[in-house]
Amino acid sequence: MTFTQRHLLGIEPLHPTEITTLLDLADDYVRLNREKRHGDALAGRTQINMFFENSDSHPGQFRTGLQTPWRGCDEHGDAGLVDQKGRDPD
Amino acid sequence: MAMQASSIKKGETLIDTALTLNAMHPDLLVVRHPQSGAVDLLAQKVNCAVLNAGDGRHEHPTQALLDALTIRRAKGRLHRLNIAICGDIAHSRVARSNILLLGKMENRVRLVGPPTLVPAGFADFGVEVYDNMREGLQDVDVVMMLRLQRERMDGGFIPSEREYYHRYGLDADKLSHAKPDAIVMHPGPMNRGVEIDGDIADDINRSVIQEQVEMGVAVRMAAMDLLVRNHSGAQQDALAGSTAPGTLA
Repeated sequence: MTFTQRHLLGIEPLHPTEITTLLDLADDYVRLNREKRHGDALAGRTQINMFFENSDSHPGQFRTGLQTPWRGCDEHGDAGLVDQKGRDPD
Repeated sequence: MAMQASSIKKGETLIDTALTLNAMHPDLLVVRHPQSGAVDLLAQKVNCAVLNAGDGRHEHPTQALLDALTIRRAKGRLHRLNIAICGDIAHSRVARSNILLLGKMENRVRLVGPPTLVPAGFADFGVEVYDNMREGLQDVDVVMMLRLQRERMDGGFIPSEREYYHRYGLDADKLSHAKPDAIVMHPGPMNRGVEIDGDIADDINRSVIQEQVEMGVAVRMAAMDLLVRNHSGAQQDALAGSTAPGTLA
């Protein structure tokens, strides 16, 4: 596995092999999610979400990505409504 | 924590807020900020891993990665594809991250949109620029539509939404210029009848928009997983070199 980045700040610093590594792992997570199974790679970790801008589904997706084994997810920010961007209300 | 109740609203700087949160010893900060570069600045000040969930017009790496995964699963590869990114390129961090990623993976990227929304500087990224959508979509494998980012516009970039849809909205006629098996993507939220026709967006034979949503969860899980692993590895390396708990730098 090749992914040496400490942060994920952008695509620019990523090597193509790191992109492939991340996508391969994401493929595994697609399979797990479809089987409604959860890995424990993130068990006991703490994540803080800081959203200072209106958002659509992303805070939810990061929260969904946490799964239950995480110690906690602290939400800090201003996640606004999709409708403010003009999408039809669901 | 709601922004309205946080110390940011009381005048605290982003850095001070980050340092306060850092003192809670999180493993990961996920940050979205309206200013380009703000997340990078924050990453320099904290000990944990930082994931950029979008900063200004700069980058949105997880969106580009989920788009890449969607393309790879739909087309069976992520190289040597002709990909058109269409619409409001100028205000889009999604476009910038996608241009970088798709270029790194050796794809041919075209930008399609009115000159007001596709600044000339983008040609420096090694892409082809079209202001005629039918020409820009000719024989492409992937059509990636972008939302008009009204909230980031501070002037008259288009004459009207009706005129914009007529020239740059993706409909069946314009899509017919792409390859017959070309897929249609949109990062959402969509403005139907502005940048994309509703029937195209809902066409299960062409549209992979719902798959993008599913890939979004998986890509973010993978990104968080890898970052936390690297963070834990660095912590363990630091512990191995220390003589006692509490002596970490």
